[in-house]
Amino acid sequence: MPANENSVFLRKLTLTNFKNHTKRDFRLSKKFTAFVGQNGVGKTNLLDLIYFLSLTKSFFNLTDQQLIKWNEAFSRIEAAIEKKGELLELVVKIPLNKRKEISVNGAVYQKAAEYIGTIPLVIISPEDSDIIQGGSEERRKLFDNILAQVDTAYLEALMDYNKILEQRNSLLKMKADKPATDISMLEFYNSRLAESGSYIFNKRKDIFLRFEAVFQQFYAIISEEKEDVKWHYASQLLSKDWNMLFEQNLQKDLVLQRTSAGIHRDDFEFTIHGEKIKKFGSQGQQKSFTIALKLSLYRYLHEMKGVLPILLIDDLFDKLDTKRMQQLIRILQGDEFGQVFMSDTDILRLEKAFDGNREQIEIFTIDLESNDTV
Amino acid sequence: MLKYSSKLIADAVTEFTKLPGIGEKTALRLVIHLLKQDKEKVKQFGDVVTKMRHDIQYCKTCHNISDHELCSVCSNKMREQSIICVVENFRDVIAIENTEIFRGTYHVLGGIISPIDGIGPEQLNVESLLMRVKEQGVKEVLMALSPTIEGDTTVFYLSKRLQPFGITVTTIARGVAFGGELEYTDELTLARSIATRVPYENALVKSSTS
Repeated sequence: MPANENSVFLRKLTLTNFKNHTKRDFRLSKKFTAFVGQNGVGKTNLLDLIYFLSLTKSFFNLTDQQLIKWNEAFSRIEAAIEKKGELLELVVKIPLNKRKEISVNGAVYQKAAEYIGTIPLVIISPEDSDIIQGGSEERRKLFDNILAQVDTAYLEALMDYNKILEQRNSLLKMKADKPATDISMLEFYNSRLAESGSYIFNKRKDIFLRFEAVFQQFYAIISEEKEDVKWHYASQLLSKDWNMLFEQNLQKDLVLQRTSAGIHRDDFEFTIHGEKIKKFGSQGQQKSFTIALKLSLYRYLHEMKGVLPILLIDDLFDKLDTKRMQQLIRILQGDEFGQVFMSDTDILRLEKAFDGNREQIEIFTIDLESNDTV
Repeated sequence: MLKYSSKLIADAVTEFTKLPGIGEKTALRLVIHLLKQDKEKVKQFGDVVTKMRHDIQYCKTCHNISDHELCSVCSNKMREQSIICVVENFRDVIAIENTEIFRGTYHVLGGIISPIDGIGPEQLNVESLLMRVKEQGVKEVLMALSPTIEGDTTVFYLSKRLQPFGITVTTIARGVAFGGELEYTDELTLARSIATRVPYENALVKSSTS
């Protein structure tokens, strides 16, 4: 793929001692890259590595230390990335029992929050079913992940909010244990929560208002059905302001010993024909739903950052029939999408999915024994 | 644990390893060093440490560490009694004293408000501060606390409690560090520095707070 002026393109990737991989070296030039191999060879680890380059942590909630290959003293990743025609040389070092270090063109980043967003990225994964099946925190995590890439202040506001929330909850517990506890600090915590919380609320609301139509379009293309899908931002802040919420919930908070109102209680509701998709959507509908969701977040990132992000698809054929799969690939082949990385077990199936466009895709066969350059 | 031929040595090493940042090998090196010294010198070393711990007091006015009932700042007639600088601990007193710019007195809180760590205003030296303000004719309380959530909470709480006295409550300025470059200053600090900008004449440091 000709590196588009408006895309982020990973040209080169060298890794040492990352998860099960001792040493690997990839040169990339096509729009689509596929890692193919049997289960357990570490295809997903390679996608996780690219995820790490964007978000400075593992998609699978592993600690940095757990990313170092067993019995090795360090892990090192080097990447060359073209962004808007500019070359970024990225180096990540994870020494055993020490903090990781990330540098871009030689300059070390002190705070992850300042680095995140340099390489915008969206991942589609079998784990996405948690977005529908899991608790509200799974959904908040998804949107926070995207918003943090757009704007450093969002991530900082969120970290601030969580710290203050923890203090506020501890104060409520203290009051329950010792009724004489002075709680006049609540006023301070409330005002600081409202300050960080309003910022977060406005950003979350913005995605939901502006991107529902995009989401519905993607869903219609993938599923080829005229199903009525909707998403809805459920936040207490939509109907009441912070002061009112804190005031109304004070007694409840004191009894529960935790803060019952705020953006930490936000949820995002997904429906199909007016019913919760969690209960009434088929497996295929749910998969189409999460893919459409991810693609619309991709579009949001694209619009906000002004570059086409990287897209990762782990286990491409997971729960997708051939028809939906071909629709998905057709969407990704368009100019509205940039570099795509995917993983699959079956090379023939993959080539078939790209029928007629075999030259668009570069396939790396990963196997356990030959652990050198493929 | 290394093997020692002498229990006396082993015991001394164990004691040294209880100090922060001292491992067993360093402890052994220190013990051997002491062993080479005159007995008198080692006795003096031990006595000084024991005496330090035994005789140290907390100033009854400001809670700073002190050799006497009143610390050297509080008992100094040259210090302004009408301005009190509130700090978290005595290390902050040392830091501010080293600047030689502050001529008032201190008040050591002994911590900052952090419910997560079980620290509320009750655990801090708050009442004695209010008492001083009430009885000492204090005109200004300067809050020199860290610009963290906990520090800010404490400033909020104290200024609320000080409100009835009608005195001036100030906080130390926050902003771009000396010798720091603007482009490397984090956004939050820079934004705050701009929001709380000061007229240029005030930016020239006055040699005294009075």
